[in-house]
Amino acid sequence: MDRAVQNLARFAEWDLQHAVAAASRNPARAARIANKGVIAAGADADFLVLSPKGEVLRTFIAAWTASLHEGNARRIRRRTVAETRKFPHHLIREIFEQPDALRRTIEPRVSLAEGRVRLDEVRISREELRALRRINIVASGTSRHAGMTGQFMMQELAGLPVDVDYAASSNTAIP
Amino acid sequence: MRPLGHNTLDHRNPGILGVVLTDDRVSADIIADGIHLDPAIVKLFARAKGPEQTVLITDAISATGMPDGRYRLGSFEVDVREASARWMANWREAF
Repeated sequence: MDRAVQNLARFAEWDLQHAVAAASRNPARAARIANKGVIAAGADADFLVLSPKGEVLRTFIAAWTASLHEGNARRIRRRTVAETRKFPHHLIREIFEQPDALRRTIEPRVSLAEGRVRLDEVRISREELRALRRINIVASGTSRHAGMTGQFMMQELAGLPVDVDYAASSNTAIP
Repeated sequence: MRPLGHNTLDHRNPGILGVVLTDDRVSADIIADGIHLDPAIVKLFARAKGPEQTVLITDAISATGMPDGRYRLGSFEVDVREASARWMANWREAF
């Protein structure tokens, strides 16, 4: 069907969106299936991500990733977006990577079921943490902005004074 | 242009095709594999039915999209050559 859509767009000289409608909205309408062929609240959320040429990049069934496509090989397993092919620009790839990157960062460390956060990489003992009187976050660029977010969280949760300093000037800024 | 099991579009006898292609209330299905119908016929159909009433269908089988080779469709053997599937029996066009 993906090739049929590409063919129709090419043969009829139609925009891809019209050819896609001929394979989704129109048949759903003809068969009177109200919960398919539309993107709307309450609908089934079966949809595809297509390249501008109509190649299937990603398949969603009931809003969940069912498969990511590479050539004709179709696999049903979780893969990161970074592994899929063909983004028109690396910035767009990075934008698509963000949810995956965040999930892979948070998932192994946060258990919503147990209400626990595990930070095994942080080797600071309970006693050392209790002894903290103030925190200085030294960073620049993206890490500085992450530090500024951390500043508010730490101040609120731990009740400690937190400052964020530019790495470039930290030797003078830290008392 | 000949719908399966129906007459061709004749200049004195438009038949079912003439009606379906010209009545905007009716949606119609088309196979756009470039084999069942010539691309020009698909274009003509698309012009007649428009983006609201064109419904794509495929005549795809399990061997569709596979590289050239021999595949099974139930009890039939199917040969895929140059992206087109044909029955093995005397290499007759299936369509």
